[in-house]
This record gives sequence, structure tokens and C-alpha cells, in this order.
Amino acid sequence: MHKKAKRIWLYVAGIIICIVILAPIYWMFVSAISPKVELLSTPPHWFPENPTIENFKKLITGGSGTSGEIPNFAKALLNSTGIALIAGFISLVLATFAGYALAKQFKRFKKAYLNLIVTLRMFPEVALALSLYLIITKLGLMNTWWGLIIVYTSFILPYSIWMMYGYFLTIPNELDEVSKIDGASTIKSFFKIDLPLVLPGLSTTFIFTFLMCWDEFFYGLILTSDMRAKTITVAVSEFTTRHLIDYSMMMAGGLVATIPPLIIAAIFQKYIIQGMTSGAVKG
Amino acid sequence: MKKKNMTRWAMIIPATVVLAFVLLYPIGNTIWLSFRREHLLRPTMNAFVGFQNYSYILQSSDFLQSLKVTAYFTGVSVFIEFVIGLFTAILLNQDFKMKAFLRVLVVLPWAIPTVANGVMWQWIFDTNYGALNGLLSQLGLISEYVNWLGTPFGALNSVIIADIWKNCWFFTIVLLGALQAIPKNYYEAAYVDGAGFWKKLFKVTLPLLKPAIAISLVLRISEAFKAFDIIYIMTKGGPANGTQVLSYYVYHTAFESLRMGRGAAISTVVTALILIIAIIFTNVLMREEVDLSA
Repeated sequence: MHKKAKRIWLYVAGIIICIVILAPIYWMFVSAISPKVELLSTPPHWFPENPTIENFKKLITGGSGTSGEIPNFAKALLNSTGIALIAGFISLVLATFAGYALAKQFKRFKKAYLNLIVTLRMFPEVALALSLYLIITKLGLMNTWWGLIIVYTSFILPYSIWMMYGYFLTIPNELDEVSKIDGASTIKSFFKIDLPLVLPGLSTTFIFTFLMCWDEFFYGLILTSDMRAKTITVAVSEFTTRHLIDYSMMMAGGLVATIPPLIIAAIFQKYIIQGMTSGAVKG
Repeated sequence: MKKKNMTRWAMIIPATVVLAFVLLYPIGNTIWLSFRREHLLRPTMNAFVGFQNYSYILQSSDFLQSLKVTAYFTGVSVFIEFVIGLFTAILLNQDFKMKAFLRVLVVLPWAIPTVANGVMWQWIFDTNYGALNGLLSQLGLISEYVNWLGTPFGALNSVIIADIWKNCWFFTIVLLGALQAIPKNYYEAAYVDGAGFWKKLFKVTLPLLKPAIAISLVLRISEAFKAFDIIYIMTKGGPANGTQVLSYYVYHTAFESLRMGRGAAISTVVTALILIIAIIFTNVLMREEVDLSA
């Protein structure tokens, strides 16, 4: 009897969690596909009667909406994807070499180096933003992909080094010893022995940095002013600065920004959980 | 031997140079700027002013107000997130059919971009057509619509709710990972002793989770302390500066009023505060239990 009561409570709690998580997402989705008449009604239309994809069409083609210019979401999606992929790739290459060297080649100053990285990760973006803004302006990289790629490296590189260091650490030192006895050079044993073993780690780190870049907003806000490099988060934020907010367009925009990371999170759930726990438990 | 030495330096130097360029130099430059009068549109007036920016902000009521708002935002949201996260982690560690589904579900809010989360909640909290007012009045809990984001304190708490909804699952995931590492026989011993839920929680679970709790708290607190996105989206620091957290205050000073020197001084103070909090937390909660580089 006691067991059964406990079981019921488990399910009740589980269902509450489902509702809490899914209800707001459901509402964003419904609002994005509802015609304005239904959206602006009291009480709310919880289920759309005449669903429409009009909002999404407007987002992709751009042009002007009822409350001003609609940012070109197709370009914003391209910008976000490109910037996140390139920044993530550069960081990953740098971090893989650095992480390997720290885990396997350095003894003495590695602790100081890692402590510095952990500390740097805590620095608020605002502390860097002023100087980064001045640097990017001086380099003439305002409103460019490269401007944002450089700046994004400031927060994903320390993270990537930390993660890759952790993955290389899990490789038993005996394996490296064996290849050393065989006369392989450091670089050879790195490519032959260590690198293949951290491939899952590489994917986890890359997925994570992609999501971090996708989520980034503050640097995008101060370093872009036109569609050449404006990211998806900046495009969504522009709905909130209007005098009259067009909520249905805003929800459609929010949903467009949400779908890619949501799909990535659902597919690579295991990697993400692993990345979060190892990043937190070790970092 | 010599060749090996060369290789390891060749491996670590590129990353280090980039880190120096995108992190160390900007941090140093921000500190340098904080001792200067730097106005973006009046460069001829720029000059070294010593501690003038610091004495200005430490005496300004805006800074104190922002500090209070930030402390409240960080304290309340992280505490509630931690409590929800802890109990949901314990729940997901039980053996029941929904657990696999729930473990996927809790990752989703975390994956939603903060900006999208902000617009979603801004719409939910909308006074005239928002879902929250609609729902509460249909349930008969309120007789007239509430302007949730209209008062300073109401807006602050609304932003906190939005933040909790997105971030409490971070604790769930991290603490669940740590819970799964606890050997079952620890609990069997407690079960034999006849310990109830709360006793098991405080005597067995929490002490064993201490390292994971410490690190996840430090990470979340330092994140919440520098929160900007959610504030910019939902309230722009208003109404009446009621939600102007420190990051937003820096943004306003440096990029809206264009006073770079003063903005740099505030950022330096914010950074110092985050580091102090992080050091205290790591020392109090972790002691020698976790070696950072292990």
C-alpha cells in the first residue's frame, strides 16, 4: 500500500513537470500560428481555430509588418549558423592541441593555466565588451562575421580547452608510454593514439559551443547594426524595441530561433547531459 | 627530448595567444579605461582621471540600486532553481516509467535561447492578452487583469520566474548525474536504520552531493550575477530602474550614454564582486574535497 501511494506521487510530480515545461512552449507555438484576431481576444484562444503560417512566410521574406520593418530571418539564420560553426571549429582545433598538451605534456604550470581558464570563464561579458567593441571598431570588423567570430572565441575557447583537457585526461598514460617506446614522436602519437579516442569528446564540445554561440545576444547587439552579420537573437530582440509590439510575429520569430537548438538538444541529448555534468562537475 | 619540448609548446601557444588577445588584453584594457574619462563622441575630452570614476559610482544611488536588484535577482532565482533542481533530480533518480521521457524533457528549456525565452514570457505576462491573466481569470483566481511587468517589484519577480523556468533544469541534470554516482548501499544502510525521506536527504544525499552542489551553485550564481539578455528583452531595466541589474547598468552607461570610462569602472567592480563570490563559495563549500585540476 505504501509502495503504491509513493508510485502515484511519482507520476503526479512527473505530470506537473511535463505541464510546467510544455505549457509555455505550447503557448509560444500556438501564438505563432494564430491569426491576430484570435491572439488578441479575451479569454485567450487556447486552441487555434484557423491556424496559419503567414507569420513564418513574412519572417523569411522580410519586408514591413504592421509595426515596422521585419528583420530578414533567413539571413539572420544563415549568420548565426555560419558564425557558430566557424567560431566553434576554430576553438575546437586550438583547444584540442592545447588540451592535449596540458593533459599529457605539461606537469608544472598546468595547474596555474587551468585555474586561469576557470577564472576567465567567470568574467562578465560586460567587462570585456567595452574593450572588444573598441578593438573590433579599430580592426574595421563591425557588422562582419569575423568580428563576431573573434569575439565569440573569448567565451568558447576557455570552455573548449577545459573540456578537451578533461577528455584527454581519461586516456590512460600507459597508451602514450607504449607509443613512445615504439619511437613515435609526440605529434604522431597524438594523431594515432589520442585523437581517435577523444572523438566523442570533440562532438560534445562542438555541439556545446554551437549552442553557446547560437544563444549569444549581448555581443551581437553591440557589434552589429545591419543584416550583414546580425544574428538570430538580435533579430528576435528587435521586436521588443518597437513602440507597438506585434506579438504574433514576435512569437514566430522566437520559435524560429528556438527550433534549431531544440532539435539539436533532442537528438544529442546524451552528449549534452554529458557535457553539462562533466563541465560542471569538473569545472 | 628537445623535440618533444618544442612540440608541446607549438601545441599550446596558438590557443594561448588567442586567449591573450580576446580575454587578457580586453580585461586589462577595461581596467585601464576605468581610470580615464572616455566619451565616445567627445574624444578630445578624454583624460586620465585616477579614481574619479570609482568615487562617482560608489556614491551614485543608481549603482547601489543596481547592486540591490542584482543581489535580489541572483539570490532568489538561484535559490529557487537549486531547490527545484534538487527535488526534480531526486524524482528522476527514482524507478518509474516516465523517467526516460522526463530526462529528455528537462534538457529542452535549457536549449531555448535566452532571448526567445524572454519574448515568450513577456507575451505570457502581457497585461491585456497574456496567457497568465487569461488563465488566472478563467480559473476565477483574479477578478481583473494584473499588469505583471508594470511595477518595479512585480517586473523583477516576473523576470525571475522566466529565469527559473529556463535554468532550474541545469541543477536537475547536474545533480542527477551526481546522484547516479552514489552507491545504492549507502541508502540501504539508511533504510535499515529506518531513516525517513528528510533524514536520508540531509544525512546521506546532501553531504555526498556537496562537490556537485558547490560547483553548480558557483556556475549559476556567476551566470545570474551577470544576467543581461533576459532583462534587455523583458523590461529594458524598467520600470523606474526596478530591474536594472548591474550588467544592464553598464550597458546603459557605456553604450547608451557613451561614457566608456565610467562603464569600465562599473564592469571592474562587477568582475571583482563575481570573483569574490566565486572564491568564497569554492572555499566554504568545497574545501579540499575537489581538486579543480583532477
